[in-house]
Parts: sequence; C-alpha cells; structure tokens
Amino acid sequence: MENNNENDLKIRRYKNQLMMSGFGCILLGGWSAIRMILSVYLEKDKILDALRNAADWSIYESVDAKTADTVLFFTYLGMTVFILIISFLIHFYVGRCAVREGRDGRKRNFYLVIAGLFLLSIVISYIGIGDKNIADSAEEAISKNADVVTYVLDASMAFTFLDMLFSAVLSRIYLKKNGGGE
Amino acid sequence: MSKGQRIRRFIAGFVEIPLAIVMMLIPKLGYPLILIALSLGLTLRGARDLFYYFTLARHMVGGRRSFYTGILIFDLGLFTASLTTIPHIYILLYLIGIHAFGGLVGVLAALEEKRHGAAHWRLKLSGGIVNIFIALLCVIFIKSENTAIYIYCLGMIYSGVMRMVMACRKTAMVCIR
Amino acid sequence: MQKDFHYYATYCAAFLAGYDHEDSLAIAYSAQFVDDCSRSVLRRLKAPLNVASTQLNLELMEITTDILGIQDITRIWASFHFLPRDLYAQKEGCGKLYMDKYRLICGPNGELVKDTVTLAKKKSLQSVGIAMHVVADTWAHRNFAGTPSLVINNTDAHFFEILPDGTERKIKFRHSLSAPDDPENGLYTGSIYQSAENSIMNLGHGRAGHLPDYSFCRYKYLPAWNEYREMYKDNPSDYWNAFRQLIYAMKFLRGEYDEFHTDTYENKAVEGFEDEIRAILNKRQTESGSCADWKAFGEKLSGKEIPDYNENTYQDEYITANKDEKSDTFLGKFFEGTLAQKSMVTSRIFESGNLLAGYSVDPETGKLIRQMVKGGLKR
Repeated sequence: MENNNENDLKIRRYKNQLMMSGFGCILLGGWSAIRMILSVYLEKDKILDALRNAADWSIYESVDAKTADTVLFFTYLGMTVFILIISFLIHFYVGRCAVREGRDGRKRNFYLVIAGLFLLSIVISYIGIGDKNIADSAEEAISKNADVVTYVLDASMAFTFLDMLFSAVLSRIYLKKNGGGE
Repeated sequence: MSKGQRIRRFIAGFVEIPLAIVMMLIPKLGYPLILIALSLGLTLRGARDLFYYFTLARHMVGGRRSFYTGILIFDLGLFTASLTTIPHIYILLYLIGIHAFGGLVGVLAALEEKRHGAAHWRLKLSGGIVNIFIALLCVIFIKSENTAIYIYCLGMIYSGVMRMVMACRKTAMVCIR
Repeated sequence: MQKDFHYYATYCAAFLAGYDHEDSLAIAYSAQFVDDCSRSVLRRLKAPLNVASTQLNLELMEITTDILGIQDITRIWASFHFLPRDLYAQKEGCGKLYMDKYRLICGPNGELVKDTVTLAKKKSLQSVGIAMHVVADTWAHRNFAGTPSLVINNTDAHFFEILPDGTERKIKFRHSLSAPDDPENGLYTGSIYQSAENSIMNLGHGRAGHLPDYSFCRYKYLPAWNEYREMYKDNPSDYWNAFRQLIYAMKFLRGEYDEFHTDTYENKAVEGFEDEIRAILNKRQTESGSCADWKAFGEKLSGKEIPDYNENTYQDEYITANKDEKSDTFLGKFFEGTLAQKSMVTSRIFESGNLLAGYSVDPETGKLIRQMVKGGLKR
C-alpha cells in the first residue's frame, strides 16, 4: 500500500520543496515590491532632489516649483509603481507555476527560464558590489541601512530561485526514472 | 504560569507604562524609541522563526515554509530600523498600519476562540478592538503629530496594564511524583 | 479510540479474559472514564486536580503554551492517550530540541506498554481499566505524539482513504466544528493548520481528525516526521491486534500468565468470534453504530445487559464519602490509578533526559534534582 521506494521519496521531497519555493517567490516578490514603493514614498525629499538635478529646468520656468515637484514626484512614483507591479506579476507567475508543478505536476518550462534570469541578475549585482573593496562596501552598507535590507532580501530571493531550479530539475529527473508517476 | 514568568510579564507591563509617559512628554524622542522597539521585535521574531527552521522545521515535511516567513519578518524588522531618518508623519502611518493589522489578527483570533468555546476570548477581543480603535484615532488626528503620539502612548499604557493584569491571573500548576 | 472501543469492546475483552460481568463493567467504565476525567469534572467532585487524565477543549484553550503549559499538556496526553513507543529512539542529523519531541511518538509494543500493564498488576480493577485504555490507544494513535508539536503531528494535503474496494480517495479535511463526519462521502473534520510549533491544534492526531478513532478506516498519509515516507494505517487490523492484546494483558493481570510480553496476542479466547469482531471493526459507521454493535456482542457473550456508559455513575459515591473513605470509593481507586500511571510515565520520560513532561521529583529527598545538577541523567 505504501509507495516508499527511493525515487518516490525524492519525488515527494523535491515537489514539496518546489511548491515551497513557489510560495516563497510570491511572498518575497510581493514584499519586495511593497518595500520599494514605501521606500520611494518615504524618501520623497531625497528623490525630489535627485530628480530636480536630472530634470529639464524648463519645467520650473512655466509652472510654480511646488506643482513641478508634485508632477515630477508622482510621475516618478507612477512609473516605479508600474514597473514594480510588472515585477510582482512576473514573480507571481513564476511562483504560481512552481506551486502548480509541485502540487499537481503541471509542467511548464518558461517560468524556470525566468527564475534562472532572476537568479543571474542577483548574482551579477552581487559581483558588482564585490568589485569595490569589501570594507568600503560594508561601511557604505552600515551608513545606508536600506542597503542592508536589500542585500538580505536579494540573498533570500537568490536562494529561492536556486531552490526552485534545483527542485524542479531533480523532481523531473526522478519522475522520469519512475516512469512518469509517483 | 511560574513565579518567574509572572514577574517577567509584570515587569514588562510595568516598564511599558513609564516609557509611554516619557514618550508623551518628549514626543521627539518617542518616534525613534517606538521604531527601535518595533524593529527589534520584528527582527528578533524573524530570527526566532529562522532558528525554528534550522533546529526543527527542516526535518518536517513542508517545513521550508517557516524559512520563508522567517526571512520576510526579519526583513520587515530591518526595514523598520531603516525608517529612523524619515519624517515622523510617515513613521506614524507605518506604525498605524502595523497596529491596525495586529488588531485585526487579534479580533479574528478571539472570534476563533469563541467558536471553540474558550472562556477568555473577550479579553483578546478587547485587545484587538483597542488596537484597531487606536489606529483609527491616530489616522483621524494625523495632522496633529503630538496628538497622534499621545493616542499611541495611551494604547501602550493600556497594553502595559493588560500585561500586568494577565500576570496576576490565577493559573493551575501541577507537580507530579 | 472512542467509547465504542474503550467501553464496550473493553468489556468484551475483559469478559473473554475471564472477568465476570460486574468486574468487566468496572474495567470498562474505568477505561472510558480516562477520556472524561478532566479538571472541570475534578473541580466539581472536589477531587485533587493532579489526577486528571484528559483535558477538555476549553481547558486546552486557556493553557498558555509556554514551557510549563507544554509540560502540563504532555504529562496528561503522553501518559494516557499517546504512550511513547521508544524514549531512546535515534534519528540522524537531529538536535536535542527535535529528538525530545520525536521520542514522544506513540506506538504499540514499546517498553512503556509493558511498564503500564505491569503497573496494574495486583492493583484495583480501576487500574486495570486505565491500563487497557492506554494500551488500546497505542494502536489507534500510533505515529502521533502527545505533545503540541507542528513538526511531529502535522499532516498535509497528501492524505488518502483506501476504500473497501481498494480504490484511493483523496481526503480534504473540513474545519467546521459543528458538521459531523460523513464517512460515506469522505467528509471529515480536522484541526486547522497553525504555524506555531506549540499550538494546541498541533496536539496529537488533531490534524488527522477522527480518522485514527474509526475502526473501519484505512488511509495513507505523510507524517511530518517521516522524511516524506508514506504511512499506511490499517485500523481494522490495528484494532483487531489491540483487542487481542487487551485480552492477553488482562489474562496476565488475572494471574494466568507469569509475565507480560509485548507483541503477543491472545488467539484462543477469540476462537469462534473472529468473523463477528472483524465485521464490527470493518463496518463503515460512526461511533453510535459501532457502540450498538459492540454492546450487542458483549451482551451475547455474557448473557447480561450492559448499561449505557454514564460518566456520573460513581460521582455521588465520591462526593458523599468522608475524607478518610474517599480512597475506598470507586473513583478514589480510579484516581490512585491515574496518579500512578502519570507518575510512572513522567518519570520514565524525565529519566530519558527529556524535559517535555516536566520534572519528576521525590518531594522527600529531592533526589532527582541532585542527579540533574550533577549531570547524571541517562540519555
């Protein structure tokens, strides 16, 4: 009555891990988006300063400074929110596909490609940090608390995608060994 | 509850009240203090969940869920710590959000306990309702920063009093030979 | 297990073991009263609260799940309903925190089963009844632990009932307390998922609902602790073994055998009754139907009427007795039995180095405290 050969155990383990990593992808992706929107809104002044430096000064000649600031900021916020919504939807898609494959066995490959690309982008961003002297990096990180938060979240996301890829590949290998069934 | 636990709970409640009074008298000091406390609480909670994963849940079917929730709460705690340099009004909004959510969770938990027939669900329900009520009041008086912080501090005093009341409640303790 | 087995089936087993009708009733009542002897009842009787052998849902809701609350819960549930199979079990790669919970997993034929039965030797009928309840539950509640623990007692969506025709039907548990179980349509109630490790919802077999208590049920699932291995639970077979083991144990307690051995079952006494008993065990019905069948079987065996179980039967006797005479009442002897059982199991768990059931201390000598301080506990 019990299906407990080695392949069965591994299939169940990796499918479960795949499901959990999908869940984690949705959760962390959602939090990442919310955090980014909050950060943008809460650091309004800093962003406005940066935008004013980068903006075309002709805006300030035609309207008053307050209106110009509002337009600049909300345009920036709107674009950020739009990009973050897209990002969250992609995370949601990847997570949902992982959950579905883990739970029901519905296989898709495209989400794994996206997961791989996400993982690659995080690794590259870490390599970029590593280019600097580690002590400088740490000092910068200490003085900018938000960066520490980002590093922690990025590391977690990297782990999630790695786990997802690993679990998906291995569960498929063992499923094939088992003749397609658990 | 053991004697030690009662004492600890009583002290925690007792400390919360003068802290709230200090924050009411010196509002500028209040915001960073609240944030530090909240950040510490969330970070420690996230760390605890991660510890739980590495000691226990990793041996469990589906245990990796605790890892992800632990990471999320840990990150929330770190994020809260990063808010100390922003205008107070936004800190207050953030705190209101956390308290409203906490109040909602409290109300739902109390209703669940009522459904299961527990006797003391009213206490939990009142705690949840007070949390939501304080959050609402803070929103109403958001334009007046000091008023909002007074309301928040009143909420802290209520919470401190409840902790001391819970510490003094009778619980059965059984020893066997 | 429920009243059908603890009261009626235990009566049948006691009668087949050689006890007369009155003694069998006393044993059966005691076996069932283990499920009713809560602190609420004890308060009403003005009896000592530390003899409780169960906790009502209301009582569980009020307990704080700090270490003392956990120890209180574990003492009761591990002693009477989820007797640990192996207090020295090993599992690779796991720390002490995990192993303390793992070692409380219930199962039949462990050392503690022998200790439980031996403890009742030359004691009252009430002690016999208590022992029979504990032994029976090791079969029904196997693979769950009598301590609130998500990492041991959790189950997930991989839960299938094996129907009489051999097909599998996925079980999805409801969480509605008011809706009764409907075995015909595969609708069962289980406790809701709670992520907190020490939540009351993660005590015992709550996550599997009443399935372990249905003698007809066969199912397979993934226990949280079993490294993704499926566990097949054949209740009809387990209950059949439990019934025969109860007869064997009671024959030992009556003095027919010199020693009690685990993994030993009485076959002679059930000769001629096997088909009838298996039919009752395999019938897809809830408790009320099963009670009626076991009652009919018991009355056929003894030729006498088995009164319906009434929790209050002996309570007046206890309440009206003088202080000096309480120990001689039916319930007084029962309370002595529960105290002895709880003390024995708690001591064994403590001696194994596990503090989940709390401390077992000799109030006169403080001996075990000194042992602990010197690091002299066995592992």
